Amino acid sequence: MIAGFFNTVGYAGPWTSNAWPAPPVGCDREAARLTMERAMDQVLLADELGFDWISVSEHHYSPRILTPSPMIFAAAITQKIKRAKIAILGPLLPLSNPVRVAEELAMLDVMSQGRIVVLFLRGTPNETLVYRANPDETREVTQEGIELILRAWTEPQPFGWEGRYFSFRTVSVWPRTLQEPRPRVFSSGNTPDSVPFAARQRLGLALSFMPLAEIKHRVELYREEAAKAGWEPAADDVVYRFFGHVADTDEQARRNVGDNKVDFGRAFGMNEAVLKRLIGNRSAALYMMVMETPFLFGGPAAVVDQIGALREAGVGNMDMAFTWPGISYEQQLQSMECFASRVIPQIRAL
Amino acid sequence: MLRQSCDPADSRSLNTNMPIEICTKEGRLQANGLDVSYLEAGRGDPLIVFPPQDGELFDPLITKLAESQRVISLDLSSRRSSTIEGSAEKLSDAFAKFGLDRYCAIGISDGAAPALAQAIAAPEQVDKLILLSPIKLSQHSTVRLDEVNAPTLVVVGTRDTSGSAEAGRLCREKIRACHLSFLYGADHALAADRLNACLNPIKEFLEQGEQFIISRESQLIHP
Repeated sequence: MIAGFFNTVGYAGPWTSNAWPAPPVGCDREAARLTMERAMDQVLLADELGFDWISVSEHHYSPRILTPSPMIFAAAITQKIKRAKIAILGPLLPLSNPVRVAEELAMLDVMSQGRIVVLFLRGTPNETLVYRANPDETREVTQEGIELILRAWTEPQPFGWEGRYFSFRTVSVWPRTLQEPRPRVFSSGNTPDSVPFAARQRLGLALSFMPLAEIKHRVELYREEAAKAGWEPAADDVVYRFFGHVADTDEQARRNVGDNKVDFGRAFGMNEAVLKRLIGNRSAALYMMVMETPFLFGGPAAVVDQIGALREAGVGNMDMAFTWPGISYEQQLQSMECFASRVIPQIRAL
Repeated sequence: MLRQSCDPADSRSLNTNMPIEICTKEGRLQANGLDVSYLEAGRGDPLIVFPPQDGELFDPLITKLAESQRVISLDLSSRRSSTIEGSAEKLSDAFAKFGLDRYCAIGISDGAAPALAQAIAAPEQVDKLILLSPIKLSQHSTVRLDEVNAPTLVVVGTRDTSGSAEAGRLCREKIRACHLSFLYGADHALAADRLNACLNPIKEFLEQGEQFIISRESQLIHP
């Protein structure tokens, strides 16, 4: 089992509004500086503690995650740590120029001595508003963007691209990625419709914030589609992103988490216009979900058991955020240390 | 020997499923013992088509090109491709006799080999070369790709598993002024899968040559 630390880079100051977009006036400049300082400290700690991956993601216009450009944060990480892989999970292709994304990731791969892992995503519903993406087209845009980036990394000669959503007469990416033929790439399986694409393209499958039964169903579908495409995914080809909290005992973990819940609709501060547009959209369910507790939760023994169940569902790669409403920064650090010292050694062989 | 025809029934001896709205002339190119049937349509700069051996002389793409070009599509269905390739010089003489001193050439699928042979044998005639889903390039042509002087556009579908991508890459590497373009989501039959997306770069290449890589689209949103 691969153990990844998801660095959310959540705003360290108080949230003054749950609205989306969050008004910039609510961003205290000193708190923003502290956020970045702490995030980098957590990166160093995660590397020192032996996490396999350190991941960052892309979100916009909100205190929830202060990395609208994950490439910039990843670039800083490449110069701080020399062991763990750097997982950029992920650039939002409907908001980006895919050739630029290919170029920046190639740079990062070289800067990191070939330690980049990538997941390309569509973005959460609000983010279709950020640079005017049409939510009805984001899956197709993302999939075309992925194919273009894969080709940009591997074609030996300059080429043109006549796509449905992208057109480039000349693509010729320098530098080439250090990893040959390219960095490891994942594609989202959060909606069942997206799973066959990942399998057809022989990419890893990335799932997030869904119940165990759904994870199992998605992994089965992925394996079926991969078999049709003539290959068999390994366990670590499936990555699952989730919240987790580990303490010395189950009781301590329960006390730390308290009655706090994650209401995705509120946490994402769903924009009213987006909510109306989402009606009937299959991806909407995720953003209407309320989580009562973190996915992994308890003392070390309980968490090891829970990871065993995750492994049985077909996941071989965890991307764990140690954040949760009410959990302080110091408690996050304690949870990371407890997880690294008392859980990771027991899940390596899973 | 030319005759005017707007009736597809008149071209029954040729391998074609030409749409009835295209007005064509049927004829024969003859020189030094070579005798090749062709269909001609449209007005404008001449474009010689080397269609697939088992394909249509006027597929939807060529039909669209005939709206702005004088298209002459050769019927190669009864010949072995090696024979056609070996006849490039005779074909050049036939074109010259026909009054075609300069023309663009387009080779589709296994029609790419004779189109390439023509560009190698008659560099003074072939103004621009277009290869769509090229396959079955002969050893004779591939070792001489560096002799192609005409600016060349190669278009390959991203879902084409016939070997076109490999042939396209070889052309891109060896031909002096070759541009390789991938048509997203298209299989070997480019025009059948994405007609307009295929047509656009071809038309711009025919109009602008190598400068087709430079955008002329305005980025202005609101003047």
